[in-house]
Amino acid sequence: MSQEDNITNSHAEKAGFWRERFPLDAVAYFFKKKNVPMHRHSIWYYLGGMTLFFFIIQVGTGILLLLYYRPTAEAAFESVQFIMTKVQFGWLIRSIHSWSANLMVAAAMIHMFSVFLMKAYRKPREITWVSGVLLFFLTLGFGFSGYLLPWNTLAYFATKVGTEIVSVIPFIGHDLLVFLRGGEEVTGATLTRFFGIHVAVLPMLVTALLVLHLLLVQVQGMSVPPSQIEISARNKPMPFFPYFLLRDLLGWLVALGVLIALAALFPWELGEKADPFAPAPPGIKPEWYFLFMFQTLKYIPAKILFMDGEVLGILAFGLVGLFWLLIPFIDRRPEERRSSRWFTAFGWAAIAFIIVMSLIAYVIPQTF
Amino acid sequence: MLSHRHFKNWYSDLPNRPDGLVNLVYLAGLTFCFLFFGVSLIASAQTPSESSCIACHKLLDGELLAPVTAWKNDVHAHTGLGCESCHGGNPSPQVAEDPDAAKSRAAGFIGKPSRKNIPALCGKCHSDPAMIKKYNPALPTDQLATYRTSQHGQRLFQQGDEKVAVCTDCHGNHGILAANDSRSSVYPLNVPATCGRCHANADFMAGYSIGTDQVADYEASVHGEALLRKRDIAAPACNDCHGNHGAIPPEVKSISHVCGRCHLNNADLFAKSPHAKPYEEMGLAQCEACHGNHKITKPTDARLDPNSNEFVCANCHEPDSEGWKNGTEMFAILNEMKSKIHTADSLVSRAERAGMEVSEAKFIISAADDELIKARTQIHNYRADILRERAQTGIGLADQAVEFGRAALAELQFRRKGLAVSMVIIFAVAAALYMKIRRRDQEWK
Repeated sequence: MSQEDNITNSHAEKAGFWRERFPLDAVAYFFKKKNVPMHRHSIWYYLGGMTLFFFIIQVGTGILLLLYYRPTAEAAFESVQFIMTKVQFGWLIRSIHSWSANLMVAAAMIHMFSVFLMKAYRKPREITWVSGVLLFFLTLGFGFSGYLLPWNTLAYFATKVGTEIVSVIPFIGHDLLVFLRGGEEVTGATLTRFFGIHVAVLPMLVTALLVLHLLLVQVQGMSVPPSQIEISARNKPMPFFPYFLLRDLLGWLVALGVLIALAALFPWELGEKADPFAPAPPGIKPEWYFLFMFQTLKYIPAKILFMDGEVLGILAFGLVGLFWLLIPFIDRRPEERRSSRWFTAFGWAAIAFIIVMSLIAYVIPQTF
Repeated sequence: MLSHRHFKNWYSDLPNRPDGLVNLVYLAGLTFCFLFFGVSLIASAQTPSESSCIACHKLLDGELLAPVTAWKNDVHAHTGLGCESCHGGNPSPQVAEDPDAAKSRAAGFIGKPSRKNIPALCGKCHSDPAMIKKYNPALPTDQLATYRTSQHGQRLFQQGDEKVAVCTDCHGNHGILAANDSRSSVYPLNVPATCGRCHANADFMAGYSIGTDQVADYEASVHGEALLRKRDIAAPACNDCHGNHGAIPPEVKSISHVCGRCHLNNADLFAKSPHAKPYEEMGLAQCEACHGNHKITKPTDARLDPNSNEFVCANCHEPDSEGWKNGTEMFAILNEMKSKIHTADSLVSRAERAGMEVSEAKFIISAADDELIKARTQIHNYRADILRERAQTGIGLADQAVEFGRAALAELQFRRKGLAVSMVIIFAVAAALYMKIRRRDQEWK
């Protein structure tokens, strides 16, 4: 028996070992049969994978940061400073974590709007959409809770403003504020709470939802937009393995390059340590993905009829969020192959609104 | 006399009483009228009428009316004192129509007090602790005693010079405000102008052997800048160095005590320095010899620079003498500190602009800056050897910061190189992947 035959037999034995214990053939069959439809909008299929890539980066770098981070008001800032100055490549890990967080939100946002505009939420993918939107909200939660953790001045006051918003919710607002802050004010208790949410609660929820989301995507396959069904039927679908996966990997590699370049050339600043007794410094603003909401709240009059303008604004955002979450159950037209132009227009209007409001917020100096 | 029956009859005679409600309204109205007139009568009985002095002077014009107007804001008026407290006379409103009775000498009327008598007149109350503590227990009662020791007091009482300042010249007369009232002429921000009313007036000061440029010089000084421009009332005004009631030019020996009230370390170091004794023997005014008096400008290190015309050591020491060399050596030590701090600052700033985390280095630089300030204070000991010893901490910190800055820039270079290598690897892998995709695509298609 030649050496080559020996190696082949050894592989076969190992595969046999796993085949007996795990339905490898079924998995292999699934991947072999998994196809990606080809049409004009196929490019948007990469965004989900891209978001997943950034999430994996977040988990990895987050675990590394956890080795040195200390979640108390007395030590948080100093521990991040230690990570950035004393820990080997600590600066890079922290910078990648911060940049990747922003790129993940951006990728998730683009993925969600592309799915919306391609009507991929229609039957039978309602649960995929709902789990995706919930994942997006949880991602924003990650951003909001993580922003405070370095305990610097900007984060402290942005969190103060951010958490204050919930207090306008009728009946439960104040209780919610106390629940979020761990008291009436943003203190060390808030920091500990946000840390717990950031590294335990949100990862647990996201993992569960992500498994559901990915499972549903695999079971149901890629959705083809109604306008592309005929084109897609004419085109030969691309086998997921290895053709689409290789493209996915190429995209991830490019994203990694961009991420490393951003992290190395523009290291994420630490700023000054938070001082709860100091006056709020000028230029405080929330992370870019919350900016459009803050800007909108500023334009709402103080009183609308008998209601407080701010309360109305928050309620409106809440209702829009709910509408967005339940869109597959409201817009039934695409599944019946009917046009749902109003919903498409709503999607474009939402994108335009977010972009315009965010730009205005960047151009006009912030005064919270 | 009205009895209950009379009232009942009168009441029953009121016309048109349709019902109980209207009667109630009548009764309420009557009660209100009685109460209103009653309270008005009591109030008018308790309102004090104005004194005979005010009743009469308010009908006059010009300087005879002015006291009435100014008196409303006077701190003494607020404590319940009246014109008679200073001027005597009968303030009773009953004699308002009778000037002779109001200004009766028998009632102690003294009219306008002479300038020479004003200190004693004010001192009547202000030197009496029992009296003053009734109004303001925190107020000192030594003003008259210290005034007697002042140049003003000595000239007034010993030479009969009535041109010198008396109480009213600084505090005003009928509109005297508390010294901590920002409108008061003796409020710290207003003191230079108050003193300057006489001391900056060349005509008024003619005949006295002192200049009239003190206020102008003070305004150009660091102290004037702090007090008048930055409105820092902790900065010294004229009275903080010269005294207020006991105002007197500081003597040679007392100058360091005056400056030392705020500049404690400098005064202490000077007292222990080799300069202290010779200065005293030569009658040199300690701090003033190098810093001047009213026009004290911000001192720079150039005062120790032998190549500068500000080199103060040259005032007394010959070139290349021990004192000259000592000054030159101190200048070299300060320059070494400054140069190292500057180098550290420039390196750390470069690293910071490139996005490096340098807060620890900035903290070290700030500590080195503090040491430089301490070293500049140490100058007042005039011992280069001691300065060298004390400066070591600051020089050490600056060296540490320089090292930090260099390490940060080296780390920056390392990061850039690392980034370049990573990019090359990523690009190479991406290119290989792209080629593979193209190859596999041909198989697939």
